[in-house]
Amino acid sequence: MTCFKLAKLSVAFFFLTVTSAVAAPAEQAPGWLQQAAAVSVPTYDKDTPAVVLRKEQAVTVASDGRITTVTTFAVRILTREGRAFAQAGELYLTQTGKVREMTAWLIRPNGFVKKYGKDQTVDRISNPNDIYDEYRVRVIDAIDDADEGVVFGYQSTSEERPLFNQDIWNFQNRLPTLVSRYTLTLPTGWMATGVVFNYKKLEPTVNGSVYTWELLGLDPIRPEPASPALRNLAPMVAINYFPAEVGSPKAFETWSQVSRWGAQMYDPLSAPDETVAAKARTLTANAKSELDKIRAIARFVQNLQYIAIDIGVGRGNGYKPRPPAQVLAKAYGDCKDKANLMRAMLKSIGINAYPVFIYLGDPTLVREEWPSPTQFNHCIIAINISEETKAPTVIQDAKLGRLLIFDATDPHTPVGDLPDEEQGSLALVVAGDSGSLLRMPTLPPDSSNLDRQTEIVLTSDGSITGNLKERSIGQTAVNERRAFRSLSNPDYKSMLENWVTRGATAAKVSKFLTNDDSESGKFDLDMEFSAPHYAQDMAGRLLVFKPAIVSRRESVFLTEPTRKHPVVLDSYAFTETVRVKLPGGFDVDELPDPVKIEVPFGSYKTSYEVKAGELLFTRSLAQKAGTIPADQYQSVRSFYQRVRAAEQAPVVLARK
Amino acid sequence: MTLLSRFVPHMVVLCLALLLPVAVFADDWRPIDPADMALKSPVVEKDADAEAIIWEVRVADGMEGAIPQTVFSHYVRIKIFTERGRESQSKIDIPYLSNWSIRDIAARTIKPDGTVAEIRKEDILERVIEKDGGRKIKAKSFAMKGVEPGAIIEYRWKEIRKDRLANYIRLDFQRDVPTQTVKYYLKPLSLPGFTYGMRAQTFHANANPFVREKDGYYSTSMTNVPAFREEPRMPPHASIRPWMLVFYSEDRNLTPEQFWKTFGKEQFEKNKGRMKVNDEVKQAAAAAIGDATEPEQKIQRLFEFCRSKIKNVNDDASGMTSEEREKIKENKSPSDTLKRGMGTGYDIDMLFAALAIAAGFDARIVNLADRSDILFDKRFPDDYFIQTFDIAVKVGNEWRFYDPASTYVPYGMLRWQEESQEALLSDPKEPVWVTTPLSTPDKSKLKRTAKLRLSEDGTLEGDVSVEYHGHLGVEKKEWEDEESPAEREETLRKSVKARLSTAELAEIKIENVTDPIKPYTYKYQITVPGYAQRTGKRLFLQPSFFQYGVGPLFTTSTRRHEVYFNYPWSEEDEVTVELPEGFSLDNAESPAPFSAGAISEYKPSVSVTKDGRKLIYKRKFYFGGGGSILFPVQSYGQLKIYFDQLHKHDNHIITLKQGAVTAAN
Repeated sequence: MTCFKLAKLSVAFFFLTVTSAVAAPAEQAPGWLQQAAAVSVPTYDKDTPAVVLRKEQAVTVASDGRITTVTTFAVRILTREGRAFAQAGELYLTQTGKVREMTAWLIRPNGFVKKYGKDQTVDRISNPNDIYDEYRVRVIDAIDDADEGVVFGYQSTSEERPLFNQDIWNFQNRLPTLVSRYTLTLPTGWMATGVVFNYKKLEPTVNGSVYTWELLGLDPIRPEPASPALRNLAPMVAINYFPAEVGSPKAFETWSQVSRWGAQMYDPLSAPDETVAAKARTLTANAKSELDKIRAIARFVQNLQYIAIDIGVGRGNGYKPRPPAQVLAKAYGDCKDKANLMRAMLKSIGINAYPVFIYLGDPTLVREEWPSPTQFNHCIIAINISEETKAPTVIQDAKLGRLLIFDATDPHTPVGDLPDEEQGSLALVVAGDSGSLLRMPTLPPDSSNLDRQTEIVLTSDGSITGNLKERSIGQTAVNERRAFRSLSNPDYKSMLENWVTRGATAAKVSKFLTNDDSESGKFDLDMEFSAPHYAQDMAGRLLVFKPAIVSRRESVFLTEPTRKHPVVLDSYAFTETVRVKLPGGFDVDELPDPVKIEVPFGSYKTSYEVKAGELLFTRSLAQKAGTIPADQYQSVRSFYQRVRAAEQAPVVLARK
Repeated sequence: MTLLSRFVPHMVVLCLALLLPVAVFADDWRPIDPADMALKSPVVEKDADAEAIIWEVRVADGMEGAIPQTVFSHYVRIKIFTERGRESQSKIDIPYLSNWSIRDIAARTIKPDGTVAEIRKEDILERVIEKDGGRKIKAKSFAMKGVEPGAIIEYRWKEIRKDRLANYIRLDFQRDVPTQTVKYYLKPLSLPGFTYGMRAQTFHANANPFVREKDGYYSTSMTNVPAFREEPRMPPHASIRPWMLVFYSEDRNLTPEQFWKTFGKEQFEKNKGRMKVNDEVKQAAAAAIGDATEPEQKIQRLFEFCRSKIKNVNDDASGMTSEEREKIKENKSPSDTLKRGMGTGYDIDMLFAALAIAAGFDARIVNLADRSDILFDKRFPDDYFIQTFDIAVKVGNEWRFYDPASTYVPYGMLRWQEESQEALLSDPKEPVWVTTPLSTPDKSKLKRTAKLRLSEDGTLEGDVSVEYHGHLGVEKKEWEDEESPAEREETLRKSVKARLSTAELAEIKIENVTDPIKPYTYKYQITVPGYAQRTGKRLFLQPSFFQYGVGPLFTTSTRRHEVYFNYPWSEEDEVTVELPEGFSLDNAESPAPFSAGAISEYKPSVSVTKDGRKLIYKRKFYFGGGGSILFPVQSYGQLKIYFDQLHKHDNHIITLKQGAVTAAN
């Protein structure tokens, strides 16, 4: 039995905080919540944790652009795990917004109502990892009070002076939703337009200056591995509102407008001062070509520490870089600071460049149909280059010419490569009137590859000693580099031992050597290891072992027999050659059949050959980035099941 | 059981004769030693990314008017060696509560070329991390400027904690980076009539003896302290990290023996009223005991009565709503607990003691430490660590230990955190130390059976049953008693798929999740395509179905800390596999048994039914015999070899061949 220690000393100043629980009188839920709670709920799968009874936002715009938002939400908890949804949360920006009021209620199946007001409201920062972030969230947490069958609801009123006359309404999250409604009340003479995504056509009902978008009876969206992002599955509407006669610079109709808006913020801050120019000159002093100069500056900027300090976000500072001289002096910055510093440095040596707004995390998310800066969360750079400079990440733009795309924030991806999650994404090149939404380059699959050569000596007791050489390029090398750079030497060795041990019990890494050549996008790993009794001795007659020793596929990630949503695959490729010197006194009795699988989204191949006392095993996998429709799920699942089966197949040696 | 003791029975009493003004930092930074600037590699740990050259904290207790306060003055100087060091050390967050204050923050970077980048006032950002009602958690944050490998960063600040003194605070000597010198200065409160003395007790630290400093401080330090690193299965932090407990107590000049004697008497007096026997208690005891005649049987019935008939309101799975909890009245006696049919864990244990006394037994409260916090040593004469309690009942000439408030802990066992602990048995005259027993491996057993059929394509299917006994069952029940049936099924599916990714489960039954007595049990049907590997003429089968896909326990070749298992446990498996038509055993060799003396034994066996159609695999394993659950780091190599051997043998494969018949070995 445990208990808490009581204050040992009774002197007055030994501070003891006591929170006394006071029983609240019985409360009554508001009419809207009682109505929502009275609605009969369809039958869902037993693992559906909760159903949203009502999800509504009523936004009222004042003629000075201020908005007041009333959020109304009700959810019925269906399972114990559904308790997590008995929570209210409203995000706001400290300088330009506030949550004026927030009240929640919980209705038990027996009709008992509990009310949550100011005393139960917690106000916290949105992202505790940032040094400073003005986004805050006000939360009412009723999780501990909730259980199966309860209805939880809340209503909040927020005020805000938004940066843009644009808004997005997500009709649902993953839960089934019975009623989802967005109502926009505009000043007289204003109008609104909406673009609907992930749903068939949906027009608002318009009553004077009140616009309402509504959807009813939305099915749950279950999480599935390798699924498209929820933002590409759940219906949503993107809205612009503005005075009908004159329009609004804060509601963008074209991407050029967004580009002009971005340029007026970035361009004045891209001028290099003497410290920036001097640094650029120093960095490029020995550079012979245009590409060398770009690389020298890129290397410096991407190695500056990433630190985000967002002050004045509500006034647009979340999009605005700091002056390059300041970033240089502090030796840290965020993505826009780094892109802008690099732009200024390049400018000082006569190379033109533009900031690029992009969404980092999923290259399929940005929608061309709705020009808005709010679609982006990251800033990279497009560098105007001459014909002299060749690189795989160059795109051609009719107005701007040849543009070399580079992410100055990613410390692991060199010039000439681009992070996976940015490749193929739509991104806005911010170049005033000439700016436009462009498709970022997609590098060919062979530009990101891992080649592994393993030489093994197998002894008659089944033990192995091995020598492994891995050569990675492109984004595969980036992953290796990230792991290597994030771990200390002993931790990296432990990580290698963990990796080898997963395939060969009791393996020991005796030596390893890395060559991290980020300039040319390569990462090499050489490793020596051993493992006792890797092959199993069968009564002294047979030796059985799996020739795929490391990174052997032991499991499949698509385990469910059916699927609703498409499968999203990343680009990935590896080849491996394993040479096993066989022990004397044994013959190969059985070899697995070679495998060759060709499917539209990839290929897999193995081969076995015995020659001069040596087994030569090869395997290769190529996976193409793409989205496979759900009706082809079985072929994807079967592909990986066959790959797993092939990698589990043993070789049998028989004593002569 | 033998738990290694790293406790040094040396406690320092810090007394202050003079009340002097609190010393403050000098305005200027301390001079940088050119040798530190020139330092190219770490001194304490050769692979460190950053190393603290100085980490100094002054802890001064004093009065601000009539309000007590503790002022912590921090000074940290760190050398950066790598980019990783830069990443990890450049952002500084100083969290604090709203009634505390942070003052005099200063920070600077000395770059390798000697230039200095100092943090300005406007670079220091204040954030309210969270606020509710009148409570606020705040932080002052800043980013060091111009940090690069080779640079030295240093920062200092003062933290003023109002309304409290440095009483029972834990001060670490070990950080996330290695430290050349860590130094604490302590300044006790000095107040006329204040009879308590500040004391400091170090643990696992070879700290230098306290030295009297100017301005009323006493200092102690450690040098060359390596960085702390987590490892799997390590003892509790307080038992391996060097640290110091600072607290106040009256200067009673008691030896540990004297202290515990006094404390044990106080405990007896404090709790005897809560074990009071009246007629209701007597009647309840008689009814619960019923026809039991043997002492042990009587105790067990009283124990089960308390465990199953009295609702524990502290239990998260009691099913009570927050409104019901708010209405709970305090029980003041065992009969209150009886009448209401509910109580806190303390009420339940006291009721059990009262019932035992009513039945003619001697029953006492025992105080003990929690083994998940620290491996306690009674040479430390303070009750800070012994904040848990159980009930000792004398059966014959032996004291037995019970805790009916822990709903799922079987009769005869305690929570693992309270097993094998020195416990102070309260007594009005002669309290004594007794040791709670450590349950043997067979008490915490995982019992698994599988009746399976193998197809010629390698698919394995059939029925599985798993029972969790003892501490294993307690952990499962505590983990899942608040989950819904669907969530429990999902937990099971995930755990099976984690090792058998192609498995499909059906007809899942999860039983006894909240039953205090019966074992937590899974039953399900399973189909695992591709379980056995097929070659041209053979099928390769791993008969240890329950170990398939389980990785080795230890993967790294080196170890820093001792290896610690929470409790001994055992496993007992029986797997029957019906072989596919047309296949018979080519090789049914059993993996060899092995053992580690009394500590552990592994006994697998493979046999075949007479008709050769069924393979029967049995596996028995236990670990922690003889109370061996803590192993010095020097034993890691052997321990790893032992568990690697276990993993190897568990991954043993047998061969089926089309046609041939071979008897099992």
